[in-house]
Amino acid sequence: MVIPASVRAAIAEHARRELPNEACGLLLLDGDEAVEYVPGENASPSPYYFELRLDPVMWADIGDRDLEQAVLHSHVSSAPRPSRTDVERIGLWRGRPYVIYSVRLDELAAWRIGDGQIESVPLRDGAPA
Amino acid sequence: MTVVRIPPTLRGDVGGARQVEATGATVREVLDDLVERHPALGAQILADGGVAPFVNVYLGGEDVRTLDGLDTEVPDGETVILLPAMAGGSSRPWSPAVASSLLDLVGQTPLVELPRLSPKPTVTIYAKLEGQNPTGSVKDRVAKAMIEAAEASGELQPGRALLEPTSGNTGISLALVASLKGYPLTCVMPENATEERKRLLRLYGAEVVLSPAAEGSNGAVRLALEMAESDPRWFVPFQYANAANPRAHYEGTGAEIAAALDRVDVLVAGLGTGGTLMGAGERLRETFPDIVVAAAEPLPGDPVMGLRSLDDGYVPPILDVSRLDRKVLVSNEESVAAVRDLLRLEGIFGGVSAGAAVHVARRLAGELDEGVVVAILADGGWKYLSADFWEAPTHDVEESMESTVWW
Repeated sequence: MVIPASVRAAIAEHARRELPNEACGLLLLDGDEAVEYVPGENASPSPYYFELRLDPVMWADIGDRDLEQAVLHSHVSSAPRPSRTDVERIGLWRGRPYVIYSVRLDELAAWRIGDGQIESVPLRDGAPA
Repeated sequence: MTVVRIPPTLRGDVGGARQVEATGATVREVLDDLVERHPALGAQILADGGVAPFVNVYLGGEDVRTLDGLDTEVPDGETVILLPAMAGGSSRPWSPAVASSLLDLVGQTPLVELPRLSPKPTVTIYAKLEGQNPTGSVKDRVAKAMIEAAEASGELQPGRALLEPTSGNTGISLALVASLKGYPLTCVMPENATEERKRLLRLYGAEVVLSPAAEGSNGAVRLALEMAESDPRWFVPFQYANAANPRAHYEGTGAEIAAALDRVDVLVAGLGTGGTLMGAGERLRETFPDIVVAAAEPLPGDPVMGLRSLDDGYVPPILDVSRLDRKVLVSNEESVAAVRDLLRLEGIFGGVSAGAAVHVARRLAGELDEGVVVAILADGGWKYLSADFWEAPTHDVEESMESTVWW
């Protein structure tokens, strides 16, 4: 997955703005490249928990664009690796790209979670090779 | 006719369509009609007579859970939007910052790593700090569960009073729960129980009835049962035979550990009533089938404080020893050495039974090449301050512990 510097900066900025709580939003992907970050609202504001809320009409409209959606959320201090809570709450997002940003480590990591299995998805920053 | 907008995550169940049609006057009727037309959607969007946990249903921009749920009326021409719910978070359990009752703060105790007590770097020992419950011990879970189970069954109603043979943590926990719920509590204990225990129970609002010192803890049980037989006002929770005791550990202690850790190879807890080992052991075995459930048991005739509250040979009805994988005998001396190490090396001020659990955890950790050991530390050391064992030479410890009935 490619996350260009501008998208990464938008994610980091949103995650810092939400401190001390976790931030969440949608990352829109064209193929394997992230093209837009849509900041969401954390409906259960907490340093250890998030519940993604977006305007439902806007979210349904996003669903009609030909883009893949990845859930993004921040971990305030722990590593950007899916926690047990993340795995248990994966629900309908099973098998889809799942991106975590660690605010303390300033690190992004992408995963796919399915049936208790966690698979790492390699990330590139989109700079010319 | 109602238009239902389908998110990409569910389009595979409706032949790839972005939106489909359904009819109905309420959200329930619309979703039922939708499932009839697209059966594969059923399990994804409906569960247990309501909206499935991982789906949100919106009408007019509002989540129907905040309206009238499935009974929300759907005006003709309105659009229903289905969206995949998303929640998660870093590994620490979420809990509200403000509780409406102290009883809501029972359980959800922290797990902390004990790196300085682990015999090898490839084996991680975690301690579950039950001393962080409201009255400072694991028994808060048991007291709350026993009283609430009796209320739910109708056995305990206003006007009845609680009676329990205990001079230990269970009495203090019952005293807290009883006082917040408005039941009088009487604890029966041997007359040579320590002054601090009698005082603590009275401060929490319990009455104290003394049984003959010579009969020990069994005398307290005998007297409590006699009192209960002679007066139907008494309700005796009797933790040794109360199924709510292991259930509190199945639903609480064990479930919390299973949610917090990705791997557990050994669970160690002190063997008293057997409630912790039976309940937490059973819950953890469901998640980690190869787990070793190990009991730290006092040596016969060696009353490790907090573990042996009834006489040698008594098998509590809730204890099924066939479900213990290991039973490790621990002497007073070993328990005291471990509880001192726990304080000196890890800064944890534990009770004596915590020392017994740590002793066994260290020993079993030494038998593993790698893995994770969890020890349940039932309480803190505060209630044992008048015991000399914190600083005294070992032989004085032995004398001090044998001369007083602590539990």
